[in-house]
Amino acid sequence: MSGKTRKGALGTGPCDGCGRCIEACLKASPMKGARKIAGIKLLGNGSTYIPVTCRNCEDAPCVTACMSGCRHRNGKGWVITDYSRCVGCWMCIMNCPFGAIEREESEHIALKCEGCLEEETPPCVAACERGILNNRDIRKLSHAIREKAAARFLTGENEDTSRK
Amino acid sequence: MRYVIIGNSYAGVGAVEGIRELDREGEITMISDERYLAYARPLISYNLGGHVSSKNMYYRPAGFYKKNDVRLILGKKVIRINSARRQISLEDGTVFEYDRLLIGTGGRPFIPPIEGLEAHNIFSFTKWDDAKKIRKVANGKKKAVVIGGGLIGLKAAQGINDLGLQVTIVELGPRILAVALDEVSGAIVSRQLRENGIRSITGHTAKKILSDGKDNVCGVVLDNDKKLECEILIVAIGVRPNMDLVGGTGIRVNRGILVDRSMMTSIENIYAAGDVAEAPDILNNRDSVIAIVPLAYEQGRVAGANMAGGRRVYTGGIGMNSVEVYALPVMTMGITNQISETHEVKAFRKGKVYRKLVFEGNRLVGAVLVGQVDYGGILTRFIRSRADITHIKRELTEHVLRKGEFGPVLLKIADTFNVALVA
Repeated sequence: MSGKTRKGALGTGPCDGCGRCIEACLKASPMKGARKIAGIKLLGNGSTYIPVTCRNCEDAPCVTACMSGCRHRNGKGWVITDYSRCVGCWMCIMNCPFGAIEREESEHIALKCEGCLEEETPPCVAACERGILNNRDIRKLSHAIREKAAARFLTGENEDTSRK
Repeated sequence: MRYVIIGNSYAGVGAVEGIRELDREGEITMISDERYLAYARPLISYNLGGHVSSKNMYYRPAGFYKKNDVRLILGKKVIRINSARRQISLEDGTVFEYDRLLIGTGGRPFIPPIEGLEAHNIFSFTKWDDAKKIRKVANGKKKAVVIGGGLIGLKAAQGINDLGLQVTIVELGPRILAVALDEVSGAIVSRQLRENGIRSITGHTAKKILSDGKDNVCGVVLDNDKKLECEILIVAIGVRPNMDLVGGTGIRVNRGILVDRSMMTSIENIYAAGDVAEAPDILNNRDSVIAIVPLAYEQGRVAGANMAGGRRVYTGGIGMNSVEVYALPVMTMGITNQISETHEVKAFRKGKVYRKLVFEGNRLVGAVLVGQVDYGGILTRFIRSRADITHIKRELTEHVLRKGEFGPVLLKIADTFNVALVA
């Protein structure tokens, strides 16, 4: 596939859930400080958390599933949303494999990270003191994860479970 | 290369985008018997009810066809495919030659023979024009009946109810959305409809349509001889693949047009995608017609890329749907209702919140979410990938099912969770 990826804000592993990424996101420009729901969430068990946000998938399932066509890939290769045309059908939520899209009930839109494209470093990444969120190329990240999984497989530890 | 695409909906648009990823030069001709630029078909009920403006109905920006150098022919019907000569003919006699053809003709409403169908103000509900016609005649009318309580009937009922008419849904099956919902979730949805002014009668169908002296519909008689008054009648029993053009071409069909994993039909250079195609079905280990937007677009895109000489494989789809019933969100994914002894079902209900997970062996094969649907895509991911979920089954049943919490599941799969969807 052609060079349609850019560096993204990606969670690479569990964190302590300090929440600075969320604070930074809510102040960031695409959210315009108006929305109460951040484009990044921390899901966990009370002590350990996983940052959940848009991975800007190639062949993004949320774009494929979007009925109104409001979600699309822009010229910079980022999956963005024209919220004026989002009808809140939640097809994208049903198809996002990362759980990165959330219902915003007051406006009835399916909200996700819009990439903070005008920033050199996305505010959530800049706010992450432990370096869990970073600005890596999604392919390299994916490759690293696969390598790790392969190594685990070779040493006989548990196997990959989220993919076939 | 000359491409001809019959149909200008999700599959057709997907095909244009798939072709243009690989071929900027080839000639694309797109033909539709509808008179609109590609529009968001499932949103016709929103448009009818006044929730989506006509301006916001279009699926792609106005410049889409120009940008992709598409010759668009609207309001014209293709009447014949001549596969030997690689030509298609329009009803006005125009002939186009193709090197690669896509059939993306979608579905067509199935109208059973009911006595009295010729009366005025009886509509199906699959096209924007249907919604426009209904809107035109709805003014001043008070009562409507919708025959069929599937997704289309449900949406039509909501759209018409939003116009201020009193709507009754008549469904032959035991409940609304009978294919995807079970008794409990069906009852929640029926109650939600009732609370918002839509009545549903299940276990019955219409046997006769009544009309007044001006041939306008004025009611239906049910199979139990009960009479329902109505001034508008919607027939939404079901939709079938629109395969009119296939006759005489030798293209193999079953319930839909059969395709291989490149979306090519049994005839070389002819492809099919969307609601007309019978394509690989991940859960049922066979091919199925799964008429939903995401698969129509995806199949179209795969077909387009392959038409342009690429090598893309359609990996198969699962049935799924997301619908909102007066602010109550409902999602159904995979096998939710055709339960056999090989399935293990876990369900949880609290008020209008309902969750159900269907397992088969070490896999999740289906899910229903009502009321709280957040993170539903994570379940879709497990279902679609046919992943072994043995070691997260406890988290799925204890945290996801009972509390709607996905954190514990994600922590358990943290190492692989971020594997990007890179082709």
